[in-house]
Amino acid sequence: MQFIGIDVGTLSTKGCLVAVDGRVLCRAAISHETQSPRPGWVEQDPEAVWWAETCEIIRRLLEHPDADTSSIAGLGVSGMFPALALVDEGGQPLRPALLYSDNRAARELAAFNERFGLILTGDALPPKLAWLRANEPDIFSQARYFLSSHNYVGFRLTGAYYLDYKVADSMGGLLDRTTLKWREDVADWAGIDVAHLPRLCSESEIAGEVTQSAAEETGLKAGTPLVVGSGDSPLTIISAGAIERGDALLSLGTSGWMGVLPYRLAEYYENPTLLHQGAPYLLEAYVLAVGSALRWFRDQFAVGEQAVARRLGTSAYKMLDDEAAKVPPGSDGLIVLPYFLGGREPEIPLPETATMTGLTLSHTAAHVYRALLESYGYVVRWSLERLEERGIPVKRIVATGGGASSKLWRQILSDIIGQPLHYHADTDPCLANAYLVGYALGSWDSLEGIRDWLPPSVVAEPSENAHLIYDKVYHRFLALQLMHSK
Amino acid sequence: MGDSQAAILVIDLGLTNCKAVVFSADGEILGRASAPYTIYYPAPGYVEQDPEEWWQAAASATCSLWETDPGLASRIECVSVTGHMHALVCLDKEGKPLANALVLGDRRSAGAAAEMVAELELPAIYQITGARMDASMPAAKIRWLKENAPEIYKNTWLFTGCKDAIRHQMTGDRLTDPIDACAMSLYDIQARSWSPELTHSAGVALDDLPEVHPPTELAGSLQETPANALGLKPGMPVVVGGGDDVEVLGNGLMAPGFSLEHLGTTGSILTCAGLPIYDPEMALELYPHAEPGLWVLGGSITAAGSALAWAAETLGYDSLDDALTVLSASSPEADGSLVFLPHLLGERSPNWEPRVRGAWIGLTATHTRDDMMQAAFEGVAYALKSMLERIEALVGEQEQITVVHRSNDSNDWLGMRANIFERPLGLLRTPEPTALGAMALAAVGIGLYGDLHEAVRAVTGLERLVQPETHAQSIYRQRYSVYQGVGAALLPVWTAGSP
Repeated sequence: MQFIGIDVGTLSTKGCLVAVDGRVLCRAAISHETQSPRPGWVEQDPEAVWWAETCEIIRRLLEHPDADTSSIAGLGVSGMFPALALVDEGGQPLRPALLYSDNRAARELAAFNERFGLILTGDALPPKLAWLRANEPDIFSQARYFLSSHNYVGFRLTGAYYLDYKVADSMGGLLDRTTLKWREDVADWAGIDVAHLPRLCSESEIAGEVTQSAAEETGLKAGTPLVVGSGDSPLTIISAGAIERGDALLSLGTSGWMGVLPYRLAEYYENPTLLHQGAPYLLEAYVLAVGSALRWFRDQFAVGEQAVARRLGTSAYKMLDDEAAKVPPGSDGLIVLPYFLGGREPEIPLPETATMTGLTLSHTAAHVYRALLESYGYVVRWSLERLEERGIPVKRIVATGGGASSKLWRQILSDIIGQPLHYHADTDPCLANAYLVGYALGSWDSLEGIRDWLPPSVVAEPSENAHLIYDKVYHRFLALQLMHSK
Repeated sequence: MGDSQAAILVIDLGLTNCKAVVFSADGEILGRASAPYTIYYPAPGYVEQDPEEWWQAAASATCSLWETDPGLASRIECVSVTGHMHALVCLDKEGKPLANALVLGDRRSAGAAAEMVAELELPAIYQITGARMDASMPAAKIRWLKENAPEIYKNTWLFTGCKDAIRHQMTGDRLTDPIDACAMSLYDIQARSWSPELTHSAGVALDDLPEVHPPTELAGSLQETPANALGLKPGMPVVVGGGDDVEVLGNGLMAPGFSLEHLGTTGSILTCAGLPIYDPEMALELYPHAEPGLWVLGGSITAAGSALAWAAETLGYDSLDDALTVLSASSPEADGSLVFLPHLLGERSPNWEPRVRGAWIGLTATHTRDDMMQAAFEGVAYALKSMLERIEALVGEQEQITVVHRSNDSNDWLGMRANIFERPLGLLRTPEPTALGAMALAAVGIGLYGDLHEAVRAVTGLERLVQPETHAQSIYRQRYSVYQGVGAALLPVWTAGSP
């Protein structure tokens, strides 16, 4: 048996072919871009990008010498979300899809929040639908299917019109979490018929089978089963082995966030009403500029290091890490509030800008860099404390993303939170998609088994001494944050 | 107007080096040289200098003048010494220093200062000395020595300051002037004598303190050994002189209504007052002017030029001059949400909070290092403005602020300060106002001029004025209120318990 996992990301489509024992037989990836025809608009072509690239990836995987088309047991697809592709009765996209980051419907968003008493952000779909209805009425009136990235690919593969609860829930008020049905009042406001919205499914169900025409385009056998799957981040969390209640994934990418499981994942799959309690995972410690704050530092403070790094063929970040490692924990009193692009905690007002304080004449640029690394640790600790208060102690944290490759940063984070921090160099949602197919098909009966597919994690153990130092700075960090939130 | 060939040598002991400057009778610089010395930080909070190094630097800078211009030495008719204030020097019976001097930034006597405040209460101290008691004050340093270095304390024959120690080395006198007496925080500025309360609390006997004489008086004459070291004739008159606040004279401040800006490592705004105006909030300090009947009122920030140099280095500029170029590309219309607080060594005037720290506030991912550097320049100017505001609240609007203008100075930086202060800046003709002030004292001392008014009028002058611009002023005024707001908001973070 072999399994295929696909992930349609914002900047690339990726796929892998996995053997029944978890060995990745081969991988393939194709980069793509987003289009921004006007300021604030972010679009991608669903057919030319999502579907065509998926077909190409599957064909490449199947061309591999170890691939055996006849033994492909099934496939799973995840993708960035919530995207919005409008498709007509005949299955043809009517216009480029609007991505989650598309900001054109700001005015409609304000009206929507006002009407329903919500505090949704730019991700929400109903305001975008309202914008399309007002500005592109001809296109809007022909729309029969409304699809995000992963289920668009699923729709093209199987003809099935479905959506998992998690992504449905992320669309911004369209899903009623208690009844697990689409909300008519919200659909009405957006100008769509709930009958035109996809069938809601659990992530671990089988969505359908590959059609004859899709088989021809991809090289798969017709009838190959497709698992429902979900968005890219839920599958990334699974691929870090976060399966049990209290497991967490800490993503150190351009932005920083932590996904925390308030219930066992299998429990949520059986009972999707747990969405109401935050399942499958709570989005915590969300800071828009984390990796991008380091990039900002590199560009503004480290012009010299960048030039040297280019000459030596090393990374400027590695050089900055080496310098920051010489600065003691707590950065000699220098504290950063890392909200360079504002905070994103819906319930708690956070500062809208960053602050760098505690500055003295003895501080160097390396202090500032270390304080930046530390600042996100304080945000994570604050989040962990609030989770604990809500009765969700976080027991196992796996760091991932580009930033997690910094050994120094992982140690700093572990020291600040006072617990071990695991690290997998590669958390690949494609692998989790492949595993989920086997689970849906009954090839294995536990989700925990994915950990056997993963290489052993590298663990940063917290140092007692450093934790005590950080503990004092943390309280000052909180005071500072409170001061600037007013 | 005196002898046109007469020249005066000034020894100006700064925090990092000693300058030797020769002036003609009308205040023109005939020769200028400097020699560095070391600042020692033997332990956290300890800041020391070796008085022997001061003397060697003074001799070396002076002798290098004669090497450059061999005819100059013979024209010198008087020597005047000035130096940084608040240093404590302990001399033994032979006039030798018993230990390194504890200089301005030394914090070891913070506890002793707090004890003195507890004994005498701050408002009472301020009423007597015109200044707050803190760790920088020699009074507190003496109290610390008595407790912690009793051998030095017992063997001290004279507790004195920087310029007085160097002049003592020249003449053997035991004098000081009212300005440096005041800087010891032991002097009653109204009674014009050592304060019984303060000397008692500090634990110093009157016999161990210098006699206070007018700064224009001749202190004595140059003895043979120091004369040889300086390359001058023995017997040369040496004037009492004053602490480096004689900068007031070099800025021409001889009447109320004018202020000066000092922008070196530290930053100050000082004004001349006709009456002893005490600040009810004790934000500013008051001390006697060199001219009897006049007073000096003002405040200082501990990191001004040093904050700018730090920001330039941290942000990766090649030099402060390089960083200054950011101002030419900027305009006050630009987004002004970013604020820099320059309290990198805590805050003195006007809020007197040593625990507060520097900050950049309002950063976003779109800010560049140029924006941050520009904010640093603005922040230093706002910190100076906060003292100017306090001065004006107490003594009324200032007609003009005199500033030192060096040939390589950035006009943008001058313009920014004029706009932020909302007052015309008077650019001084002299690049050395402190030394020029010391020169004026000597010129009166040897009778080149009848009095200090006449001398200062003759030797000082402005090159030109920089006027503020109405539009820029109003924008900076708004940003100044943001600066004040965030400074006040941040304060409790630093004062509510220290980690």
